[in-house]
Amino acid sequence: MRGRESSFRDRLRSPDGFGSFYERHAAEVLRFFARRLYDPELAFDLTAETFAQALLSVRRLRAKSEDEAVAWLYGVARHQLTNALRRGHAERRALRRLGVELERLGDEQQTRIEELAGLAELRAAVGEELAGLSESERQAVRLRVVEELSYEEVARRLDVSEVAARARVSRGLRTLGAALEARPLPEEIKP
Amino acid sequence: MTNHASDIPALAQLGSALRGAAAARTRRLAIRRRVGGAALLVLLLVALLTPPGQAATGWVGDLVSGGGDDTKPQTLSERLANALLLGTGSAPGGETYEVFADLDTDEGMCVFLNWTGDTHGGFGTCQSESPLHAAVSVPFVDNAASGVVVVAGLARPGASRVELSYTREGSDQTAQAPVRMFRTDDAILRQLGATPSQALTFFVGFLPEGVGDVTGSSTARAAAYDDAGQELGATGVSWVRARLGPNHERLASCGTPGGIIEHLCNAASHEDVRVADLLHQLTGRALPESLVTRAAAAGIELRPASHQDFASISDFDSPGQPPRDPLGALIRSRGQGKTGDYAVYLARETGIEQPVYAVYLAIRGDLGSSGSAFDEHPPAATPGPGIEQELIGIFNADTGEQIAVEPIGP
Repeated sequence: MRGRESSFRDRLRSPDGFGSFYERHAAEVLRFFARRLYDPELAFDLTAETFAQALLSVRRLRAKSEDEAVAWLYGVARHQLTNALRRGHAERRALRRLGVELERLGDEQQTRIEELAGLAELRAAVGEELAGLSESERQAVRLRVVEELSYEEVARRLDVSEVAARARVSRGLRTLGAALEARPLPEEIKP
Repeated sequence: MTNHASDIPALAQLGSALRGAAAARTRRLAIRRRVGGAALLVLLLVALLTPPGQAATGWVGDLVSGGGDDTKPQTLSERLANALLLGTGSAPGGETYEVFADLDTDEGMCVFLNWTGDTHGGFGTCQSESPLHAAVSVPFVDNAASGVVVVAGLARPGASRVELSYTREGSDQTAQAPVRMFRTDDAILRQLGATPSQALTFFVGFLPEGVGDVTGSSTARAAAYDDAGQELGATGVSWVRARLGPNHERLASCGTPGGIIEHLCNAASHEDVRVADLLHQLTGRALPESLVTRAAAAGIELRPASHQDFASISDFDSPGQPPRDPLGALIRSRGQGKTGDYAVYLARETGIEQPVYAVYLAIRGDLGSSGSAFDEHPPAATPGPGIEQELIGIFNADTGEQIAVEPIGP
């Protein structure tokens, strides 16, 4: 067992092993970002940075199986996502360290990423699921997310306390998120 | 997941680029491990076996080439795609060598010496600090080439020459060793994509093999001079020749070039190595008892390790810099082994006020097909599967007195 675990790590650390790992999961990671950002270019940048970061860290990886390695990969991806949402752009630190240059995506490729991620379906689904929220939650989500108002302003518009406004937005987004996650993906990009 | 990389050319291109970067990185790591390179301002233990009649260079070659069956060693240029040749030279005994520079994304400008004739192997170092703070730094003492001791290191770019002086055997007379300088000129820097501040001056000097006491320590002095003949700085170079068994001995260097290096020595198992004795010789510190004996007393079997278990490299932090791990332990293993069993590391702790050494014993079980004692540095607080690591003791760096100890074994 120990030999098998060690063998898995060794394989992943090899160029071919890492390359295969990338091939198995790159599209899924790209979709992960695209569905959360609705921005194919940013999603691609984050995918690249995630795998670059993973490559730089792979020698410290103690994963004993593919599942553990994938969990670790998504940990890296979530970290990238959080940073990108905070900064508003993708960092390319790991890519720079590896000397990997990214080209800008053309319209055709951006469209293809949107298709792969099912963004059109997702947009439609957002509309449907938004309609399914309670009126108070839907209003709170619209004011906060679509109109990008502060919680203070959302509270003023809804004539509730700020705490209540935050709670409505939070509940609404949680409901929306859960409903969207449960939606089936387009057939062509099913795992 | 079905891969759709082919649907998105950029995704496929990224895959190719990452695969290439992974290959380059693997080559660099392999070279650095096998050739023995490490960040400058690190004390480097260079150990080479030179038993009479034994192909000492063979196993060094194994480390470099990755296998004992290769009859023709690869050149560094073949292994390091982006390395550029700075020059070639020959030792007094006729052995030829080549010197390469490489810009490493992680560790800055690196330089490697590679023996090209019958002598296999070599060594390398990286200049993580640019420009070099010390006038001269001597991380390498190497006796891979027969008949000579190679003393090599880096000098500040402003140094026009380095003098290497030593005391002749059996006399008080000081002699000068031949020294060859290699520089990364503007053209090389441009080709490597390096900045002028990363310029690197490497020197290689040769001392007679017989210099020094076989069982004791030997010393030499390396001094850097500018164009006007003004001494920019100097450092002592010391090494020991440790007998590791009836047929083996190891030449090892452990110094503090430029006064800014926290020295750290790292020794690994080899046949009937008395590791504690070796550490004692390297550091001049008395360790209370043999680690091997200690391990045996704890019921841990220490079996002979192979050549490839040899771990040669150490790490350190510069004064004023935060330690690289919470304990401040500056340990880096370069274990190469496939079937090795144990290795002992000595590290100077910098995370606490009192300078101390901590000695760790790493014991490996059967790791299967491959693996090294530690893949991380410093060793993880919770070692991975197949690795047990025990802190043997902490010793006062000045007195050698044991000030703390953790029991080993269950």
